[in-house]
Amino acid sequence: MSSFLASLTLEHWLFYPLALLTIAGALGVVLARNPLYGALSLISTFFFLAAIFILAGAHFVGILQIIVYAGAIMVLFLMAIMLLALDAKALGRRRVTLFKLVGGLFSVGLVGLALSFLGLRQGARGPIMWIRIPYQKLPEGFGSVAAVGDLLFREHLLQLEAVSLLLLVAIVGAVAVAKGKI
Amino acid sequence: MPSLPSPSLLTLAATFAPGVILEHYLLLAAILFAIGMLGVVTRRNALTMFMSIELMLNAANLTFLAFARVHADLSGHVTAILVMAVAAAEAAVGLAIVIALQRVRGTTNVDEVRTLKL
Repeated sequence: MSSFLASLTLEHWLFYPLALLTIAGALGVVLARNPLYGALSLISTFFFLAAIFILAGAHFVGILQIIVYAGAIMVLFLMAIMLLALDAKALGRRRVTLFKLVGGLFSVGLVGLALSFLGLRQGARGPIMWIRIPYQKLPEGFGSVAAVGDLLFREHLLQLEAVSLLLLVAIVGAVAVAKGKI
Repeated sequence: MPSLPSPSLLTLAATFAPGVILEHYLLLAAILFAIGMLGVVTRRNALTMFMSIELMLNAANLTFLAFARVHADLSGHVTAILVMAVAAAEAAVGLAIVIALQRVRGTTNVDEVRTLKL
């Protein structure tokens, strides 16, 4: 047992609590009756997820997660929710339908499927595809702004430009749709 | 239901994976994706459904980053950034549609919106 504890790295000690908090925040999004509480829960989820990204060596993406998701996108969500000013009547009461039950069971089944993949590791039937991938040693500066930016602007320039065009279209489209008279 | 790996197995895993093993990252991503799917399927409020879609996009991002770390390949990071930009575009247009819906129909319940024209 002590050898097991000694084998744990800082990443282990941080990952599992953060994973639990992320799952709790995500459940808060789905279970909150009022979207405003759901949005606040989602912001906390994004922060925990950003910490997990950084644990996985994605420093730049983790910071972007906080700036873009927890900052920009969630502010947009909160503005929209407050603009709509949903009251209890507009939210309606909780209804359980057959469709929702089947969908819920399906979602839980997805987690069960993922768990069964995890269990296959011990199976005698041999490893499934990804299991024996040894971790490559991370090079110096892995996940830094310089390294990611270099790859982004050298090899993925076309995708970057396509996304920038998409964002432009989205901006114009959002204004055109939300602007009353079309 | 298969049992979780025993401690001895985890120590074995630690010998070739420094830190958390890949499967646990993937399992977290799967759980997040399932929760997001649960939200899309069981909630009828358009705003909550959008937030659930954001959750699913983040689960996909986590998978990209976990594999990027295992292979020490930064392409996964680039993909995650592109996914984030697409998510921002999707949120902007989606929220504009929800606000237009609220103005024209007076509801954000997707079950009450059945036709495109008024």
